Amino acid sequence: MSTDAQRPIVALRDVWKTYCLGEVAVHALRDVSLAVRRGDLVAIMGASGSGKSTLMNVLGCLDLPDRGRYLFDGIDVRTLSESQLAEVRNQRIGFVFQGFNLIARTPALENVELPLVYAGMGRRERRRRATEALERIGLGDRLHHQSTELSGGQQQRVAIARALVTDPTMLLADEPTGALDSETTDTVLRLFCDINAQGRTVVLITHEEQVAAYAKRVVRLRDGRVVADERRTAVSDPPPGLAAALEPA
Amino acid sequence: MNTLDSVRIAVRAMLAHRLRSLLTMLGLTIGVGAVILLVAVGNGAQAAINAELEDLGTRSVFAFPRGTFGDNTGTRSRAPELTLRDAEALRRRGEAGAIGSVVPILRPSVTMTWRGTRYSPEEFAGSTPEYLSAQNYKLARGTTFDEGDDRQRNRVMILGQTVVRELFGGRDPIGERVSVNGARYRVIGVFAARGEGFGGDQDDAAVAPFGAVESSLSGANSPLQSILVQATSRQSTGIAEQAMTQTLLDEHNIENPDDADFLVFNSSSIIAVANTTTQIFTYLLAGVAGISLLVGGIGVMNIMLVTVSERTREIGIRKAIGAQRSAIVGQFLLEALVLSGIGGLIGVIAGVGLGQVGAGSFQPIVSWPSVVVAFTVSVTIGLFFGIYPANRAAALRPIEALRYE
Repeated sequence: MSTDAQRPIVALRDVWKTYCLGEVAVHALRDVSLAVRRGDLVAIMGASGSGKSTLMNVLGCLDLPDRGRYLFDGIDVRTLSESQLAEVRNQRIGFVFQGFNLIARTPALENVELPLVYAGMGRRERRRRATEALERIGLGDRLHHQSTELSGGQQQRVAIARALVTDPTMLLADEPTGALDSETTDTVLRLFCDINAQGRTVVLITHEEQVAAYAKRVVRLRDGRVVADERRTAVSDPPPGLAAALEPA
Repeated sequence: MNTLDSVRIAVRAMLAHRLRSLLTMLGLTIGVGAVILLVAVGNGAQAAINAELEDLGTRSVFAFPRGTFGDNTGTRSRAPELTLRDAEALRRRGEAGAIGSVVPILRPSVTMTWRGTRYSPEEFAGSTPEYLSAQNYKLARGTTFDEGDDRQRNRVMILGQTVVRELFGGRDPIGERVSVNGARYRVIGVFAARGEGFGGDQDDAAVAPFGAVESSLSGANSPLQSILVQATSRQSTGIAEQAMTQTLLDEHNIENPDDADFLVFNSSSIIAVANTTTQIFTYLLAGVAGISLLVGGIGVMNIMLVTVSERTREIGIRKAIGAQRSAIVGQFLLEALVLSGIGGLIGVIAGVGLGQVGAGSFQPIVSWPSVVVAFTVSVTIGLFFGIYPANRAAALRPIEALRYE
């Protein structure tokens, strides 16, 4: 039962996170317990203020829980130093943020290379891998375009390529379609399904039901608590969004 | 993360805000340029003053009777004076070493008259031919006088440019006879222009043979206004000065040097004093320029702080995708460094360039150590003032930086 495939990639146990807004203490996360297994495609849903962004920060090792434990791939993140956390973010987690999250005035290729630069990889090797990552998502002809020369969907795909280039254990996306029209949203979501179908764990944080339709599992947050946890497809099955996309064809 | 990548990121950030970067660099450019230029001006001034002093002759030691400069104590019964006997004694002493030639100088105050034009030159010297070389007089036209003229008391003289202008109004004076306090002297030469120097116009002078001036103007065995001794070499000037002092003390039967009725000046020591003065002047200028360099550095810090807060979101993204603290510090430090480095470099070019342009009466001399120091200081200042903004950037927490709009 405790094989590598069975062990959750992330496990939150009784996690609390409290922010102080002036005099008022805001409990962004109240006693959240959540485990995500390798290969799952999870949508974490909730209205604004439900605590989903805080959850994403905790999951992404950008912020530490105040109470409770967070095990990332079996390691308690509270035992890690700032520099070790940076290393985890760099090598084990791929981030996709809402909106325009590329470095300005920097070509797509160099944006994608950036995590590898921070990982200390040699120039030739990282150039090769970044090119490959961009080709895989269909932007092989946009290597030297700057973000201002790319459409919103293209920018988000560059960001996804950047998240994938380090071959991370988990892809973490915060409102990845928030700034995209519905057609582009489908393209980007199908890309996430492809990535998941290749065996990578994907966690999407969103407030849009359209996004949830692509997930194997939907977790709903309200006022910092998990209020619903619905399994739609088995972890080992292909993602439903991919099947839906294939059906009409 | 290798240096080349970091430099590229820094240069790209700089090019993104061209005008701002340029204005920031301008502060350091002006600072560095000012340091280089003002040091060059100081050096040029020093060289110009030295050149003036070289005209006095670097091997020259002068003796003046006490009272020449208004410092007579007035306790003596006899006015202090230097005589030809003193000069003879110095000549005898000179055969032993450091003292080369001994030049007695008469400086009667005279009025020259030529065809009704009267003029009193600042200086009228009666001396031996060695005087001309010791004082670095150069002939522009005509001939000079020699030992023979001196011995035969030939009434000839060489005039400075100012005297020629005042007396002859630009006409050729060679061969003209001029009345000097009633004695007729023939003009045989004109000195090359020397310009302004210590104590005013160095061209307002005339020189005639000692013998002629003694016989026709001062009177036989009249006291000398000054004795000039040429040391045998530049190094032996000090020894010559001591020998001269001792000889004169012996001649005047004075035991305590404090009671000496004469003053001895060594031109090298005058040069040394002048050098110290101009050096202080140069340091002062460099110091003022250094302050502007510091102000430029504060400008760099200001802009870097603006840059950091403007790029908070970028910093958040970089940290989220795994940039270590050191990588962020490095990036912003390098940006400060590139700004100050390029600013400094332009300052070097500007300073050295302007240093080649003459500044009126003298030519600035660019000192390469000052270039190196100014550039190094500007880069160091950039680095120093970049540390705080860079640390501030690196200390941003990734979630706060990401949330920043």
